[in-house]
Amino acid sequence: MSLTPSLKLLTLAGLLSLVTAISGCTDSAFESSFVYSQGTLSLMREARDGTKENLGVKRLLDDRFGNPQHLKAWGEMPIDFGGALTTVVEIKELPRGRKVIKLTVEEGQTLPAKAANLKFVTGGFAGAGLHVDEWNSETGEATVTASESLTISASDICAVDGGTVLTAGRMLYMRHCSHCHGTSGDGNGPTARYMTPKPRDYRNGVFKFKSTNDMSKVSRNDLSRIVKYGIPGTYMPSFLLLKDEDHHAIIEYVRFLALRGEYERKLVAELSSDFSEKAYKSRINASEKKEDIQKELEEFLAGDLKQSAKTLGADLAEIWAAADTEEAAIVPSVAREPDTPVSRRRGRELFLSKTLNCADCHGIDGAGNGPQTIAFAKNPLKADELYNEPGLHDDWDNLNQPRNLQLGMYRGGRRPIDLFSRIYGGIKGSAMPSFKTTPHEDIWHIVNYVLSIPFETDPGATGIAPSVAPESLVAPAAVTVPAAN
Amino acid sequence: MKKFWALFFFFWPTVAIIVCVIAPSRGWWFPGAPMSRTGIQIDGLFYLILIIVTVTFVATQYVLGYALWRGATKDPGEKAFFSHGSHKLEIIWTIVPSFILVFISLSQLDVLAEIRVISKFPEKSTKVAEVKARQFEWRIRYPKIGTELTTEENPGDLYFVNELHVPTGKPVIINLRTQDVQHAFFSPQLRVKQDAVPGLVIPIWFDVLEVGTYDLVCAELCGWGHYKMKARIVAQSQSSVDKYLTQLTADQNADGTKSEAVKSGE
Amino acid sequence: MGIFLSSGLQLSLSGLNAMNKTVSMTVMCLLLGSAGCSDVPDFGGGASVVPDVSYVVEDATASASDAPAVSSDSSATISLGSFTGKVVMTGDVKILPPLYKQGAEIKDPTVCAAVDVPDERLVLGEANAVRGVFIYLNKSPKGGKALVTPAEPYKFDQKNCRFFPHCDIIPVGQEVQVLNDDTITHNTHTNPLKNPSVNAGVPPGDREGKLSFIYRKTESVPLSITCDYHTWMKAYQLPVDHPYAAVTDETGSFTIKDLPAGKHSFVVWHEAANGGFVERKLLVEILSGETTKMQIDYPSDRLKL
Repeated sequence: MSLTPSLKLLTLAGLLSLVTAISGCTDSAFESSFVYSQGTLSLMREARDGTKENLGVKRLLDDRFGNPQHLKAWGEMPIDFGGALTTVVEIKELPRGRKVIKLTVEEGQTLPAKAANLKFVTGGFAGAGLHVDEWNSETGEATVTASESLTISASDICAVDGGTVLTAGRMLYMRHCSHCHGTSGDGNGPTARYMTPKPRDYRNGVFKFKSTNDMSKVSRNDLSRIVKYGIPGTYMPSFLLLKDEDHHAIIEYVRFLALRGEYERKLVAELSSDFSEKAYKSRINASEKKEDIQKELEEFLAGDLKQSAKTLGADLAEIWAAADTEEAAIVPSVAREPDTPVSRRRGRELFLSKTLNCADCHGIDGAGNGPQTIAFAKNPLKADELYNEPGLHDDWDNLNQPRNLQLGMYRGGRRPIDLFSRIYGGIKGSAMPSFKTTPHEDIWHIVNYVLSIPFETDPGATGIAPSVAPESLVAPAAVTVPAAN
Repeated sequence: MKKFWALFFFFWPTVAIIVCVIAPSRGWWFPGAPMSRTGIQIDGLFYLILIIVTVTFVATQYVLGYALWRGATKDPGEKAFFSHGSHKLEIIWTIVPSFILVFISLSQLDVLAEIRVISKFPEKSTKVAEVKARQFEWRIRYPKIGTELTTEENPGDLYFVNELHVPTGKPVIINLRTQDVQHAFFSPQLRVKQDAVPGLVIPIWFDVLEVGTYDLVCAELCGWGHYKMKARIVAQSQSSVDKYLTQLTADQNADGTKSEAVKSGE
Repeated sequence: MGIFLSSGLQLSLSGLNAMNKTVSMTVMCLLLGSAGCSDVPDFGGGASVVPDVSYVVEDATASASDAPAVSSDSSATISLGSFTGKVVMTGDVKILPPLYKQGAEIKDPTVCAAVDVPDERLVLGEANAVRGVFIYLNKSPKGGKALVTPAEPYKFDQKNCRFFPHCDIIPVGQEVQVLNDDTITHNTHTNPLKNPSVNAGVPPGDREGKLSFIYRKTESVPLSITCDYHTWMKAYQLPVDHPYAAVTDETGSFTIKDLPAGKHSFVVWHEAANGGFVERKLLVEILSGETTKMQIDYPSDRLKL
């Protein structure tokens, strides 16, 4: 029997679509992956991908952070991965194949209240897991059932319910955050191309709106506030309706991504001055031999970089852990000055004075149109190249003009302490410097003035010229200032 | 074969009616009982229309099924009955439905007016908050304690996001605005729905009957985040709302030091 | 999918023989079946996949951290020498005119244009000696001396909208105090690669150093320091964790002492050089008890002004 032409066509089309449909049904077709930073990609190939004997930046990074489907929890990092990392103390055999494994944690950490599984990290049983029948969180004894003898010995490291928070964080992040912030937290998700300002790129480890002082990292409290209340004036919405444990998981995952990005940056910083593609080209031009450079790189990867990979992790952990301590928080030494017309006037004087020179960026009436906003700025990290458009830019090379204070839109929060933190700590990542050398009373006067700017009936009408020093103002001129009520 | 089709067209309407009857017990019905006064009226209207429509539906489907069955079971040799139609019947089944429809439209007029016409809002309603929708959250602005809500922002106004506190037992008005595109203020349990139009300030009133937490969702496609643009309406007693607003005032004036004496700008 | 369904339906309704109908039906069933693919567990990188987490633990046996330099023995057992020299510009020499003349209409002219604002990118001394060239080792050599961090703070000043000093070496761990001798505010903004950056305002007339910071890590190239209000202000600092670094003075001279004998590779860096490096690897042989003298030529075609 012969097939009619239309049937032949149908069968052919059917087989083709079958093949294409099924070929997409494999894991690798839909896996997501972390991106590598521009810095990593502009290194020499051997520095980036490593050589036969030595690991390059990509492997050093992946070995400690993994990829989105198979995450790695680096115990060094100050992240709550969920569960606890414990050490085996001893194993007791009980009848009928039951065993009791006694575990202990490092000082300062606690054993989890509940435990469902154990996963071994080091030792003869590494990579394997056990289901916990009974768990005693006081003594750290886990009762398991295993008929054969287990190759577990004392001082093996084992994760109890490990990674639950990180897993939950990743799943929530992919649902709620990744479309703007990207899978790797690089601020370049699919929707980011339609947004100004762009979503935060976590990989610098810099977050703008924090309540810690200018040399500290962002604290968990700050991240929690941002996730709960959003950032008005930007595309970051509020996620108030998520549960508290969901907030915690998302914040830990965001910190995971930020630490990954920073660790990558620091590794690249070790290599970039001598082993970037640009440096390589200029060295070849300066008649260095290719073999010499590669030998030098090989030695560097084997020695210095391997060493640095450990110490950099410890440094990062220290800085980030310090952000959550009391010392890092900005605490004004005096309570807020009462919000009176006198205080606001003093604030305005300071705003315009040469002591602080706020008007240079924010404009004499706070409209965000000071002289700095129309000058072409230089990019110090790109050999002082001028930016394409005039005005101030942030660390991510996006145009980031000073806030128009007349709108009453305060991105970092509208509480007095929030404004105090912006002035005292500056806004890390943007051109707003820290004014921590200013007396706290003066900062409060400025806060009072700034909060009153949206309600000034005639902004800028106080008639004080910017270059006049405040001391010369003796008698207050007629000023339209909203009355304190 | 003809009997099959007759039964087929009898079967599905029957299934539809059974499903409607069991729907409330299975939770396939309204999202909870109506929690506002207008909600009760709206539900009443819904049931009125439902009853009218059900009666009509059953009647017409029965007639259809009966005609099919008669056609399927008639003797093949039977002669067809010729009819030139019936003018009287045509008039009846035009006039009666139009009366029903006019009745429906007139009976809902007063509820519609109460909800939509500003002059028909309850006299003693209080302006509680301004809700400004933006992609993809709900920004709330309460007037400063002791002052009236105006369309402009005033110093001392209290701001929050995604959680609206209203007192129960009395009609409250919220001013609905939007910061960017069209959204819609929709609270299923309170049976309140109003589009937010850029450039307009639209007052909405409702009277929550019971203390509780109700959903506020967006009902106008506003972008990729429309599906998750959700907030809470927390209905509490007036004293609880006052306590909440006092707490909000204190939080908004937080100056980072622990002194209780600081309550500046009041 | 719909196209196949409708065409399949058409075929089944047309008078095809049973064999062809079976074939097309089979194909369609297979298609429909594969369209589901729902029994493949958890594939994809989206919100539905449950990632697994494996722990990474660094080796418990921490390798002895290479302290930059351990000179446990007395220097008698390690032979030391010195390196001194001069950096001289060769080729066509450019003399840079002042950036702004006195009284120019720049920002805050009463302070910043009270005197001529020099262009400090290339400062030449007598016989074309170049000031402000950094000569340093990338890391401490074996047998080298440990760095002694000075207890007193380093004073970094600014007057008439100029930083003083323009170039310097800062020992890691020393407190850098930023002073301001002007009646207007400046903000000091550092741009390091490995250290955290500082961006803070300095009050006018501050002689106490209210703003201070400390470099904790050595950098591989000097970092720039700017003021954002007066963008022409520039200074360069190199934090090092060993004592083998120097900057040339007005005569273009430098001296580095107590180098262990042997071959060393120095970096020669200047802000106006193309890419910054005058020499990436200046090989110098240090002999025990002797001073190696060298004139470093800085070709003017390396300049990028």
